[in-house]
Amino acid sequence: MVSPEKTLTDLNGCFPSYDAVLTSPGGTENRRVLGVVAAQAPALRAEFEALGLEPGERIVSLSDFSNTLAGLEPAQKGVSPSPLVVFLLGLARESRPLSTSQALNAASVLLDELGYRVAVLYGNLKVSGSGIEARVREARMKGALFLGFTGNRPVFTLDQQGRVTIECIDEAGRMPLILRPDWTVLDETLSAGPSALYRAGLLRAEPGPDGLLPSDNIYRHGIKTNRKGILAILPDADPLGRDSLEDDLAAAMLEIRALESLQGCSVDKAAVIDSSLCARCLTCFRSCPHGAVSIGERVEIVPEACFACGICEAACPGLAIALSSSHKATAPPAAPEIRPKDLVAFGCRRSAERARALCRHLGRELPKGLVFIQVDCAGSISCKMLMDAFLSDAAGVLVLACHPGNCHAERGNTDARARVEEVQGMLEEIGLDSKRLRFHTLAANTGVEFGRVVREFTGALVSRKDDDTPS
Amino acid sequence: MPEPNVLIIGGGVAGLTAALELARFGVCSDVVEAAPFAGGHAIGFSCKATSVCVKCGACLAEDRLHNVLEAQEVHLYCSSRVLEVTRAKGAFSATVLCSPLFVDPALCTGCGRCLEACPVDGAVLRGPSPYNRPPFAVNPDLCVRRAGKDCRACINACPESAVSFNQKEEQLELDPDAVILATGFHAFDPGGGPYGYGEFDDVITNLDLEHMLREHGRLIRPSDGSAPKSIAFIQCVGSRDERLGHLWCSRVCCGSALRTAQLLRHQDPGIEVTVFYIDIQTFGRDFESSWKDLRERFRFIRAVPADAIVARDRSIRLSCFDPEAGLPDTLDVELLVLSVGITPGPDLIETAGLFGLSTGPDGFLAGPTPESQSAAGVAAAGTVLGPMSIPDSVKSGKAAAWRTLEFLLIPGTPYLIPSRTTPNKNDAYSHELS
Repeated sequence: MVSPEKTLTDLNGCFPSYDAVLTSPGGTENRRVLGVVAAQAPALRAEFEALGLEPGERIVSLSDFSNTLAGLEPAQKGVSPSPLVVFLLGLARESRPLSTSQALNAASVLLDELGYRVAVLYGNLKVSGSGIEARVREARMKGALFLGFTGNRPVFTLDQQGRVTIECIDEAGRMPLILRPDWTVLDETLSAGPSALYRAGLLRAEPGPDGLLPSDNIYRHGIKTNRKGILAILPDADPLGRDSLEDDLAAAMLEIRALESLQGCSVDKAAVIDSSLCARCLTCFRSCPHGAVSIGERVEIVPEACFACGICEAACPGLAIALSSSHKATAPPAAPEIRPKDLVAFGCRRSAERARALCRHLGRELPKGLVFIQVDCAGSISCKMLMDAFLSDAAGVLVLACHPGNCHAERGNTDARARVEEVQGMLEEIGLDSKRLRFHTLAANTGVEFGRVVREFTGALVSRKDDDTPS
Repeated sequence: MPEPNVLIIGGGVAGLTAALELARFGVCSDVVEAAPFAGGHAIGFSCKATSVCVKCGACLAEDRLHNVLEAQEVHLYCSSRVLEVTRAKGAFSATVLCSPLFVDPALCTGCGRCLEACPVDGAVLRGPSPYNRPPFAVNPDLCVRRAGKDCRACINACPESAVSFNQKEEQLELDPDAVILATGFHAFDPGGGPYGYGEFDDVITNLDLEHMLREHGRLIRPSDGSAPKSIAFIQCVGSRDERLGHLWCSRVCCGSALRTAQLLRHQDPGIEVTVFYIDIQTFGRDFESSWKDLRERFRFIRAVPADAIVARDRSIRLSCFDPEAGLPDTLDVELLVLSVGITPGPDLIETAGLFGLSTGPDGFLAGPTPESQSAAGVAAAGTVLGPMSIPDSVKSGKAAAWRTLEFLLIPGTPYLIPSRTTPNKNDAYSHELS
């Protein structure tokens, strides 16, 4: 069902039942939905002013030119020279493969059907899309002039009639060139625009560095977000320029189907709030990266929307939250016992544990007395867990998390770092050396790094002990 | 109702992703991988993170492989290839030849003593990942037993009796309901080319560099084991090359080289980095700002050096014409990295032919369109379709899984997806299996 002219103005709840408010000129309407797919169109902008140009009838954006191409008259036979169209790609800002493709489409019409001349002036020519390189060659063979600029950029001047003159130096031939195009066509760059950020806020989904959804966290697979049931498609903004909208749609369909099949399934593992201990401080609501906490008569975690990262459990000041598992198979293995003088490493199962496995697989030795405690997410490591390790007289404690930007739970790693800093402060206060607690980030494939971090820490602990020895 | 079963040819990132996605819906798959170890090219890659994740996606390969081990729906056959496929009344029959790895995956604990004991370099292979099953394998082509010697070094060294030379070649007969082609790419071989690859020790490819960083965690100059103080990357080796007929951009090498350059600078702030390029391709969603920063940190020369020679001090000497300065230039570096391109797999025409598919002008799999994939029950995923990054291969694998599900869901066919009846080992609500 397509609802034109409707805007999503509010979204509450979480998977599997979001309450959406749709607003249209006719009024508002409430809908209960399983999820939301954000398929936003990013804003396109041709930056004429950056090149000293003013948009006009014959100075246009690539999209506008492509749209008016059908209305152009063919070049008159016998009139020389025939009209010149100059495409400017990546001179104002970095271009994208889609722009190259659009320019090549237009160039092919201009050269084959209209008998125009074509020049393409570019910074970095973006050819990382299907067939683009071959089509560039084809356009060259048909007489299109391609000029790349590295250091010396072309200079644009406008005369009183608004005609453009381009002065430049051809880098390959070291020849000065002057072009007087009949049409000057500028590529466009993408931006999120304020509405995209608004949408991200409304959906409580983390955007990428460009402000667009989904985020570039690689574990979102370019389609999912930090919230269950919220998917996002980024049309024609694929930075690698793959003609991937079809794949995006297929991946979205797959996820929707998976969400549907999850309805009514029992939840294996989720965080549960003990209401007798809950003080309604809403720390869990604020700390949950998945928007899975619902505030009603009671504060509750919606099990279907919970990713079982354990961040709320570690954050809850009243110790009112615990992860509960319905299957024995998914219950975490019992934590190994910490003995005095052990080196304890708490590590995320997705990064540190895999790095440890790789380290051993590569035949690298690990110090004896290393107790590795695997956690579902570094964000689940509470201050209490760290202090307990020191109470067990651990020689040192390492907290190993994913690199910033790589956490499944978005901010479990940064939370872990904050906890480490907090506990380091506590250690100092009670007269313990805060350097006995260290934080480090790893990835699943940094096996050698795992070994290095552990060895260095062990070495530092030993040398510190030596310093303490009275001489 | 028969349980649907899908044949996936290729156990790289795309193929494994397709298998995992199908597993989410309870659909079983047989993944046939030609190499002794699954995970494709990417499982040999290294993390490029500096102090933050740089979104290269290499850890996704580890993630796929790890999750496949936990998914009962996925059956992985390594050192295996599809010999024949026939189709009668819509139903496929496939013959798969599985070569022995001589290590029992059920017994091997990955201790690596077989490798330590083996007298021949390369005869015992270490899988790139601890999540390869088995993690070690015997390469029969190099093992001295092939020459008739009764060497028992690995057998005697194994504390688990996991090594056995009684394993034989096996033929599997499969009856898949649908097929996914995910045979990946072939890296361009720069051997015999102008840069002395294979001739000079200190000329390596970007793949060699990936493996070096994964195994040693740092940059090593192959000729003397030192830490190089200067390094150059030559981009587009085997890509965008008209003489080779390679009229395509490999799409991932700019990102790979520059992310690696950032990592090397992070590890050694003094290292000099030069990049020879034609056009820098966009990578990452914050490319505009990172490119500004990169241009200041590294030397970029927009030229393709004609060749490489070894200078008297044993450094690699490159000559080029610097278009910005408008002058010829010579550069000596201690290590030269060739960013080799993504090219179609050598057996692709043959494999595609098994399914009545063909290759396009650039040699990658042509078509099949999304619609035809869903209609015919033959989908394709990953770099078999053309160059793509690791995250894009994941998305491509998901898309292929969906097209296959669509085919299996066609009304009137017996292939209706069963609802999940058994709780999966992984919790159904986590993203683990996705």
